[in-house]
Amino acid sequence: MGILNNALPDIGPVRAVDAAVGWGRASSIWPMTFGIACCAIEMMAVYAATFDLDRFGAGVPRATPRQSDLIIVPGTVNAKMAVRVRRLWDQMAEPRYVIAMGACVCGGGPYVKWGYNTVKGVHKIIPVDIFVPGCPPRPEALMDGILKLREKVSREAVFARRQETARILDARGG
Amino acid sequence: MFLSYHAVLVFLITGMAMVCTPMLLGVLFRPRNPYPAKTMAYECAEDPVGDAQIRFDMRFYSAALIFIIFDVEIAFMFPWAFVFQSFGDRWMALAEGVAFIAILFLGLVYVWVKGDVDWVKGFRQRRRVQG
Repeated sequence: MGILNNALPDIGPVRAVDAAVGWGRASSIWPMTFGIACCAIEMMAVYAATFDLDRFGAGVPRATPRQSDLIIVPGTVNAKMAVRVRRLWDQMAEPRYVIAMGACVCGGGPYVKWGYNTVKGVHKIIPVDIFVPGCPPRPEALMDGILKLREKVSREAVFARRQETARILDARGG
Repeated sequence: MFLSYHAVLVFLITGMAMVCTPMLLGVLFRPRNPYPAKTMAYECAEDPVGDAQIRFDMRFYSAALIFIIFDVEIAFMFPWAFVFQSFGDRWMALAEGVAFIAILFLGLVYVWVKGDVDWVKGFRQRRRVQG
């Protein structure tokens, strides 16, 4: 990681800078153009004019993982797709966030018992920030997930080495 | 006398600083975490075929340009054929269609004469010069 990331003392001015950076990051979450199954239809509705995700600065789907901050995983992830999802997440630049959209992605959904090929939750492949349940979720539910993610992003410690961050960083050796 | 050039020196130093400072700030602030799966060429998460920075044959460019002749021709022929029955003066419509094809055929003749349809370009001209 960068030299100054999570390296500065946790004092007032650094926290203020963190808050400013967090505000900027939360206000311009760029999702990746990515859809798997029927949840993607609801996701497209959220991008479009009626629900207008651009109000929250998240309505600019990027065509490449290099430019995107957020990957919304909308739809059933099967074993063949799981490898691709993992690689797409790998190719995104940090900080990267994941929204698991729909029952299938949150834990298998209708395929949880007999779906031999379905990955029972995308959290088995990539770390998920927000789970949005529903089959498929209403557009409002996805927007709620985006708002929750905005809260999480804006609270994040970018430069300050906070107690909880320090514990995680020490656990994985720096 | 050389003192009058000090403004150029200041200009050079300022210019270099304005390039170097943002790059240094970027090194300090940005997260840096490259690993093979991340730096791999992006081909919609499929296994990349070869390198992204390949040399592409320029001859495909001229071939694509020539293709546009036929592409535009067909694109305009379909609506023309569709409404052909409804024309009052069908001979006139046929003549206009033929004129259109003739103009585009002139373009094909032009590239043919220029040697752009030859895959080994300039071969014919060179032979003509030698013979």
